[in-house]
Amino acid sequence: MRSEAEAHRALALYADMVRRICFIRLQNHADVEDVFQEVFLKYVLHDKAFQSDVHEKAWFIRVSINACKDSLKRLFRKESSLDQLLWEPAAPDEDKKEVWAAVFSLPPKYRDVVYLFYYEGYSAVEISDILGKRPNTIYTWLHRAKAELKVLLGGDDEDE
Amino acid sequence: MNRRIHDAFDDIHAEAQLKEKTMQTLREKVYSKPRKLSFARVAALTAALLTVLAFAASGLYFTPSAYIDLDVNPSLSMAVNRFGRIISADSLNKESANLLLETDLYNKPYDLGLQTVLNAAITGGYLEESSLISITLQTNDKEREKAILTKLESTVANSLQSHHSSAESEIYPVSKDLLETAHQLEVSPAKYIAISELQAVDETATVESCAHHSISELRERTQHQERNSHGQKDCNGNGDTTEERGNEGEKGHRYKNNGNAHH
Repeated sequence: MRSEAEAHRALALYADMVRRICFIRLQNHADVEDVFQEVFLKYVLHDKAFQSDVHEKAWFIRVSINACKDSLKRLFRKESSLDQLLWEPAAPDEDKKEVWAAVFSLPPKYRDVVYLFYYEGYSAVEISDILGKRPNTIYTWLHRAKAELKVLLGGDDEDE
Repeated sequence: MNRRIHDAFDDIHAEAQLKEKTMQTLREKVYSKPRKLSFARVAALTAALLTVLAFAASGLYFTPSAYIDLDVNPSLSMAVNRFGRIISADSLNKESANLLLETDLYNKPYDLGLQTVLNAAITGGYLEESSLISITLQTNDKEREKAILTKLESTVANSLQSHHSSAESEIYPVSKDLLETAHQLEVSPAKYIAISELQAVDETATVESCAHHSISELRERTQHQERNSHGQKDCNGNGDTTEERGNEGEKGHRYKNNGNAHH
């Protein structure tokens, strides 16, 4: 069992990341809260040492995604849709709404990859390691996600 | 486009209230410490307790003091009162629902109830498929925990010996949180742990898709995935992605029994 200090440390490091994964997968704040707490509860009860910070972060990503999936299965909830999201503390501006509309038009597994690639800065190979998928699978998902996002959001040569 | 997507995600943060609530939950479930009691408070509590006991004597009989979950596939959960009697038995899958229709566990001592279920499972041919009996115990009564675990171990050993079965068994305590989470998902704690281990290496695994597999099958699949991921590597070092069996809120050791010898 990990100490309270370690729990604080983990929250400081990974709370935003877990929150973002919940955001792109879950429907409302109540579900987000449940899954968020479940992830950190699993962390403090996880006795095995992590080999590195990289390993620990990958663990959080996998556990968060799986917890979101199980939450949806358990409660027969639908996946997130833009109209049903509760924006807190305030709704985003129009530009970001357009981005979210585009992101949420993607299948959930593409959203995970988009987040890990565009925001966390992982390469496709690193993402394949984290998610336990073949690199070619991730390349395919990324390619398709990019193509759809480009249609919806537009893009320039720098995005290639 | 890259910048727009990055900026949109950058707007999403864990709210301070969410983090505070999470720490509160962790304190309640994991880090809570016993309070020091004054003599007056102890006396008052004792008096209240005696009063409650006087009124609740009959109610106590129907209050669960421990939960024994058995997963052979069939998978079921037995609630046991403080007197060691089974007060309810819930099936966690179709096979155990059929089994419970054929057996009467109510008010039986838990060891006799377990023996009845095991005998029915063995004669029903369930053990041939999985060859692993997983039993978990959840009780808040830590003094009784070891005694119950020992009794469960001997019950299983005797059942396997009497049927000349070479099946393996594992018996270990689990936390209340793990038990509740598993039951919410309608699986046994042992199966929940096996599914969690698989999910750590197989992103496609969900509770729904894995629930009808035996624990042996799930562990084989986990090992298979681990062997495959060793070839790719290495964000995770030595493939150390699997949560070790028994660390989802558990403590204590496991009893291993191969059915041929009593340890």
